[in-house]
Amino acid sequence: MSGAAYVARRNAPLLVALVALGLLGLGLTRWLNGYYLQIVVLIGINVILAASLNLINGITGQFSLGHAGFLAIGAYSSAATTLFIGLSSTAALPLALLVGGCAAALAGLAVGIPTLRLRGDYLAIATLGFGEIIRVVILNTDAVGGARGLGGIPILAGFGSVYICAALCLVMLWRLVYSQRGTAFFAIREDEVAAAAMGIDTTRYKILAFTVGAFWAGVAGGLLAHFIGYLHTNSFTFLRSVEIVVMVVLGGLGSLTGCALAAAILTILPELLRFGAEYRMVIYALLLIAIMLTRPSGLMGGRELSWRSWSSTPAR
Amino acid sequence: MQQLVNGLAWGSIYALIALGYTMVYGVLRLINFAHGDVYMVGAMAAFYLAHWLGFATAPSLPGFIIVMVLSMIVCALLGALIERAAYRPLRRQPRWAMLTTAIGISMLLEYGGQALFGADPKFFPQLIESAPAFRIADAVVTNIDLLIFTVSLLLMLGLRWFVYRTRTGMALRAVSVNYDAAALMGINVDTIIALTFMIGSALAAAAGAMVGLRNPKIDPLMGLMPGIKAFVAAVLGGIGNFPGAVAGGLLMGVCETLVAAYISSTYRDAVAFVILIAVLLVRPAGLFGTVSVEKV
Amino acid sequence: MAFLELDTCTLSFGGLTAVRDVSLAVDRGELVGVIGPNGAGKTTLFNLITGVYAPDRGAIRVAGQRIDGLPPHRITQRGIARTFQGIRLFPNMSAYENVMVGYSPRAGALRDAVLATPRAGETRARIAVQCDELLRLLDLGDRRDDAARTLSYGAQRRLEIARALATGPQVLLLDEPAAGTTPHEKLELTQRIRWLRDHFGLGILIIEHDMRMIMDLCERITVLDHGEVIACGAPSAVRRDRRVIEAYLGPEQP
Repeated sequence: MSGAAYVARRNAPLLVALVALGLLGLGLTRWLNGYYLQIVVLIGINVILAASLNLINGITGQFSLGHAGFLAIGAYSSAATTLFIGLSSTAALPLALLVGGCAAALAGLAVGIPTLRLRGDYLAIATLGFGEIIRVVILNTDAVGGARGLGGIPILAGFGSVYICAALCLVMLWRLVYSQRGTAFFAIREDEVAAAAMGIDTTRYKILAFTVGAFWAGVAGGLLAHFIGYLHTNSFTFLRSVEIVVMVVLGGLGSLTGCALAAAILTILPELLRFGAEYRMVIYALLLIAIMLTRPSGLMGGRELSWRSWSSTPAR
Repeated sequence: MQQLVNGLAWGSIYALIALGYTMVYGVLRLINFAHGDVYMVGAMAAFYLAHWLGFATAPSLPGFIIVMVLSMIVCALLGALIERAAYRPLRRQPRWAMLTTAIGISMLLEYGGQALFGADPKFFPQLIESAPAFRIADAVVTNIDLLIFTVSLLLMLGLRWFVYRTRTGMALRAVSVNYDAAALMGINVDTIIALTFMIGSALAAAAGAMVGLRNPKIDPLMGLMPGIKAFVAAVLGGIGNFPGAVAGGLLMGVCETLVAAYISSTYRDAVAFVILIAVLLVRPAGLFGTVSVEKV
Repeated sequence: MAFLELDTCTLSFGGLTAVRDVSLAVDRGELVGVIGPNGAGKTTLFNLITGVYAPDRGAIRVAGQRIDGLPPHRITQRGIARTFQGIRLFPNMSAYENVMVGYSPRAGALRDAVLATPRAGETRARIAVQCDELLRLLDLGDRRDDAARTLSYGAQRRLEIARALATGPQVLLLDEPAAGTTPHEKLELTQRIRWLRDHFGLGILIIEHDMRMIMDLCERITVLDHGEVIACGAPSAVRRDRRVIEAYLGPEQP
């Protein structure tokens, strides 16, 4: 079988799902009012966040708790691009997103390199620390608003741009991770020492995971900034990182389709729980604990959605 | 100098909380994210107990001691409950499972606290009137600070006696070193771990009650920052290491207070994170920790 | 000049000298054994060769070039592969994927994979075929898609060897490949190892405790005790060496 046909067949479920969702979304934009549309857009942004964190946590096994930091850097730097350069047409969005993504990628590099030697818990805490440091630094930077927040960001992002970015993100990550070289990411998660012994440059892959994961978090940040129009560091606390981690865990560590699904569910859930008012977060916390106690492997159990979903063998 | 006294007071608080972190990490290799919130519960429990038992209107030292001890008991039970319900079932699961659950418990305590106690800060009753006790150089040591030092010292010495001079304490050390071997030697690991949580939580409760006395404004989210700082202190001293936790706590308190006083108070919280990153990059084992090598 | 050479290597951990002045050579096509009582430093020797540790003194050369001090993945890329004493497979990945990991450094570039260039497709197909072939050669074809942790002990050992072979080595280090296997399996393993040497032209260095297997299989045996080489030569000579006997059985009683 030729290379191209093999590639297409493996990607089929994902591509089909994406196209279907795209059409669905286009249809929805015509019917839905602002509130529901906002939720759909947020779903898209959360999908990017969950997938990008999944690359670091679920697939490469580096338990990172500082993803909100990359989100923040992406958001603020892309906002700074449009604000300070004075662009406000939709064409400026790709540039802003690119800037946001690259800035976040640099941060990913800055976090990934020093933490290479750390395992498990230590890595988690270090990334938590980095995330908080980033937030505190932004909080104290008056050039981007500091404690007052940053407002007046031109609203350039909507369903279309979010959908395109989410689709690009998922396809890119899918192709990266399910390539033959991509087995290295999973190998590092399973047994880093053995992976190195099989010729894998674990350093390079771990840094790559952090950088690519951070890049897409940055893009998500840019989309967020240009959708809401206002930023404040209170949205980028450790809690935000935890929310993203919950999406990845709920979906099943390592499953791209799983975390996308979980992102959708967990974006809609708080809205459904609005009636609970002050008990909303309590229910959220209980939900998290319940998942961990009953099915820690998550919705998809680490597998991807495929025609063979119910076969006995786990995919990676 | 005054800052040094303040720093040591906060340092003692951090040390008490850090001991809880270090104990739990020692036996379970788990970073108990919820520990800082147990400290908060300790403060809240003390607050309510003080009112219910009537000590709020009749301030006295014995009254405070009673309230503190009762609060310690409450939190010990809470700690045991959390361990039994949320951590024990996950003992054989990968590490991130327990870590994530711990985060969940932490959120539950924080938001549950907000729902239960109300998000507004409460004012801890002045069970002891703050008054200067004595002077060192140009610093004033208040009687409350003195209380904090004394109680902390007593608790730490008590813990040390327990861990090094009793059979149960020895069992605890055994579990820290090698979980499976300890179980095979007939040690009831479940009991030991439950006990570890209880002691750690009690220490955190004592810290919470004393903080209520010193800085009377308490609220359900008060455990967040001290929790993280105490954890960093434990890492600084070498996680799993008792004297290390104490040293780390005191060091953290002093550093933080000095930075806030002489550099900038907005960066006070950042000190903890900077220390954390520095330790993890330079010497992850901490000041007193042992470096462990993975056998290939 | 042999493909793999150790030249008076010494390694100490604090006060304990794990390996002292050890010299060893393995060339392509040779079957060499390393034996010695427990704690003699055999696995440490493997860890030295594969870059887990760097020797305090001495040199290690592959194809004439020094490799001591290089990180493990570089050494593997130079043609040295290994299996582990306690099996270290990737438990949740399938047998196919475990072997694929071995091929991954030589698979198509990530950039090509992401962009789905035609070149990526060709490389992918070629390596996929090689991967399946390797599984078939080690009798793992029918367990191709099963998770590694579900395989039987013997199958796991074979998978470890397959994975190591996927890296395209010239010399293969086997750390107690027969541990925990039945006598029947040991016989099969002996035949398989010989076959590997013949089919791939590999040099094979084996740590083993099963004396009969080692004596049967190896052309040359190096004996370690307390980190030092106490004998080296043909099996018949080593078997009768007084020092070797003393190391295993204790000194002769008058």
